[in-house]
Amino acid sequence: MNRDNRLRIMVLILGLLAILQFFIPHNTGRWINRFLLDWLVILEFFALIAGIVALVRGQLISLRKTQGNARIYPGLFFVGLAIMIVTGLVGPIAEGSLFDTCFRWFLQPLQSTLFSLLAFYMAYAAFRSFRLKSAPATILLLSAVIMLMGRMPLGERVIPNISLFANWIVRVPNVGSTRGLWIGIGLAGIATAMRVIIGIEGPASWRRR
Amino acid sequence: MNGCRTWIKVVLLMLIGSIPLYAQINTADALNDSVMSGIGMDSVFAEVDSIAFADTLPLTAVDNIVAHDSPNDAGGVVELYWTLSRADVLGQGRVSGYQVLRSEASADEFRIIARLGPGTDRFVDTNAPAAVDYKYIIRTLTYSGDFVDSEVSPVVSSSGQWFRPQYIPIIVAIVVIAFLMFITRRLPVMDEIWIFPSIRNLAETVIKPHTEPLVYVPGTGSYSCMATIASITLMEQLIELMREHDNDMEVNVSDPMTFSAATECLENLDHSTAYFISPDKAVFSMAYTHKMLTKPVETAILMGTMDDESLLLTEAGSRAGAFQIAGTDNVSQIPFLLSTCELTLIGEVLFLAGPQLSPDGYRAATLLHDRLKRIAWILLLLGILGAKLGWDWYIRLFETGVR
Repeated sequence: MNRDNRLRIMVLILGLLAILQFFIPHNTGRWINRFLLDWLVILEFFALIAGIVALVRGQLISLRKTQGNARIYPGLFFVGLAIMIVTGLVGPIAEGSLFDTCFRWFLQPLQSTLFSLLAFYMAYAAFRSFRLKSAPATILLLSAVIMLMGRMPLGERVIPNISLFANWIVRVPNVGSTRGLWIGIGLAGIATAMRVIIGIEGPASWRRR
Repeated sequence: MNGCRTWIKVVLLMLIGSIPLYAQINTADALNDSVMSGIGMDSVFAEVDSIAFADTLPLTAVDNIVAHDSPNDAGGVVELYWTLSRADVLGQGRVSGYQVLRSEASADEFRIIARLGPGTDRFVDTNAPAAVDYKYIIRTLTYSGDFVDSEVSPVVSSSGQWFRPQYIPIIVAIVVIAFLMFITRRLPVMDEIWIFPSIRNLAETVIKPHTEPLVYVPGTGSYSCMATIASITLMEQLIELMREHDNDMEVNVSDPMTFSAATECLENLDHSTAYFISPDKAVFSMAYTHKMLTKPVETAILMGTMDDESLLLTEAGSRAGAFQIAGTDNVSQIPFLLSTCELTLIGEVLFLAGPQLSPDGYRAATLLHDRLKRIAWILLLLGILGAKLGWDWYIRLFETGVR
């Protein structure tokens, strides 16, 4: 039996075990689940090491290739990496520690700033979508106007009963379309999972040989 | 013609989606009418009216205590049900609540294990170790401090079950799908497989001559997400297409496992690289935005699971003037992708893209997916009809208890 077939059999057994634990309410089912998840964590740990090595290598190349102000970014990366590794290894990581301070006073504000941009991006995306450039865009614009009018007290005064129509849009076409999408995604997900488990789909090297 | 077909499908989808909603509303209204006007509530109201001075009712204990092991679990859970004390039903706020007392069957040492409010007629004991026999008493309490104990419940013990019988439909479906998939794998490649226009456009885009590497993002989900696996499969097929046309690819990854898979896929494509950035979605979005705004990018493909960051990523590409193609299984993010990208693979099309572009045998598997969808539609239509016509047996056939 060659290496690929051994791998296929391993994937089949592990895949069947993962499915099986879903049908076993007994503690054995939970044990199988925990066992598989533990192995997943171990694998992810090694994959993370590979990822960090690749990240460092990429930043080193960037540091060597770039000139002037552009070098500040890889430089910042190495400074940040060193600070977090040292503070994490040397000191505690509990609340109030240097590691925690770096996380709470540097990383979290950066994350919040980035996600605060979403509001502006959403408004911009909505503006762009509502241009009357095609039939779907026209439907989108009409629906949006009805929804806006239906949700505003002023809208009800201008067009009586518009809120009923807005509610209908939310409850009927919207729910119908979403359910249709979910059914399709669910079936496609099952088909993909089964293709992996029975060995039709898998690592790139399987089909290359 | 294709556009017309798509529109007919959209209208049909909406109509079909709306039928069960109307069915639910009508059924709920009918149920409400029958309960309110039928013997249920009317008889209770009549009884309440007939009792002028409810406070004079004698304090009666709860009765009909049913205790059984909670089904389909790992053990350790006992469910209790009882009929409320009449003083609670008719006493106009006289009963202050209930206490649940438990003792091992071999002893008579009852201890309070829970306090419940008035009007409560069930309790789930989640701390009943498996294989230990227990008995229960429900104590009815009043605001004036009086109490009365129920009779001792039947002896019960919890145990873990080895199989969830209500999942049989799922098992049958999995076995049938796996069997059919295995069979279709052996079928010759069929040229008549209909390829989604958006997938064909995606393939045409990646084989166009590019002076800059094509940027690919396999979503921001972990490798255990089905959409990420589908995205890696698609990436592999795109790489095969690109190899023949000397285009390069740059893959930006947020998950370490996905990074390993992407690196393996890129082995056969010269001058192409996979970059692991960060599992943190905000950090990944920042780094990706920086790349898009500082490097020239012609085409960006974002396929896979994406959450709130989808708009950040695609907006960055849009500002950089890149031709963007995106796809996700996250329904709430689809409108953002539609508004910022030139081409969007919606829902299941993302999963089908890889197999449909594959030249080898497993392309036939997509045919099965198409057939499965048709079977699902037939079953759904029958379900809608069944709900209207009262085919309870048909509806029970698909009940799994999974919500």
